Amino acid sequence: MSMSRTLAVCRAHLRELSRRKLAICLLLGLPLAFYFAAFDDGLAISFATVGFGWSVAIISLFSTQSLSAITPRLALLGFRPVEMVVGRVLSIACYGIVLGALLFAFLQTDDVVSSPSHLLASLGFALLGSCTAGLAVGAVTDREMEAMLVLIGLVSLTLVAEWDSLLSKMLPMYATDRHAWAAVNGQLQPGSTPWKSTVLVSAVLGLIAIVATLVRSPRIDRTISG
Amino acid sequence: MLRGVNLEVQPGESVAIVGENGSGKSTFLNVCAGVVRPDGGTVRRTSRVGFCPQKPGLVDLLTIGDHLRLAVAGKDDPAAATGRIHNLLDELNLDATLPMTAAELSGGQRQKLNVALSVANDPELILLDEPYQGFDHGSYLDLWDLILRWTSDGRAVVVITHMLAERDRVDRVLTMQDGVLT
Repeated sequence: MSMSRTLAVCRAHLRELSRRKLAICLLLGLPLAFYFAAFDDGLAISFATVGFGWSVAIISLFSTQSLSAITPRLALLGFRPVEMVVGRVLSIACYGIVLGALLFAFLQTDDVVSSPSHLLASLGFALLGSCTAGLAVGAVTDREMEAMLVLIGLVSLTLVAEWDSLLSKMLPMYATDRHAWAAVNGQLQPGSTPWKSTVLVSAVLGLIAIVATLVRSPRIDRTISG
Repeated sequence: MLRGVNLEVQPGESVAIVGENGSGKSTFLNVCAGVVRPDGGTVRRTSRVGFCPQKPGLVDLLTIGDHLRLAVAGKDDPAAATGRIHNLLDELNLDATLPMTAAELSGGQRQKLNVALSVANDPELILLDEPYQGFDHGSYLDLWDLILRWTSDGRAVVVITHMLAERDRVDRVLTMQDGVLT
């Protein structure tokens, strides 16, 4: 794997994103909108972290689709699928860490937060789960509308799924929600290890993203057989 | 869509493929480039292939410079590759330092960038799918000068065209009809 090619993909994504100024403002505002929407219900922290996850998932999805026009060319120029995927992940991480740090600082001002470490864990798992979800959805769907509908479906399920149900554990932001709850209540429920299912789901989603990218990548072998 | 297509192109040779819309010309070039996997048959080619697709593969919000930096990343000598593309854009009369994004370029300018990026890897085989769409007449002639120079350098060039005047500029003209190349 070439680090210079990987970083070039990362820089291209960040440059492209930096020119979408209105989109950046809206994505920064998304977690805050979720936070204030649930402010009176006692679920503001949980909603804010889910909003953060959605924001990262959208960036992740569009990072896959924004460079899709140039992906065949990059492959012919010697870029490997793994370099393109890792480059995207790095750019999403840059965005997610900056947004997550701003959101963490803001949420810290809320008196209901009693465990900053769980809040940090919640944001970290949101970054992990939503990044892989966005990459996987972007890699298997060609069209933006269908991909956005899948993401909206995932976020909706996250918000309505029963507490600790099998469905909620299979969603990429399960640990996000559990740690957000712990951030307010001081600790996780006894015996609860939400990180296990989120890491597993994220690993599966990441694998889907890599396999779909590999399958869809142009062939650069000297011999191509049908 | 393609049926029994068989084509061998030698180094330094230029081949034009003509045919009606939907006859399979672009599909054939996409298969040769590796962008589309064939249902059957085999493509054998050089390791360095340059492909200029009919629809410019550009990212709307990246500038010319951004595209160039991406194209030369990881090359053994990025400065030389950048210089080569700059020279090519100069010959096609497009300023590589323009701070405009691809979305702000005219159709002809986008196509010039498309052509330039397709040879960023110094290819031995160059596949051009109607490469001069949107070109003014001067740029059109400049591109043919480039193609002639590429072939004289020993590169093989396959170009899809609709223009009868180009038939005299290439070594061979083939016709694609209903997926059959004759």
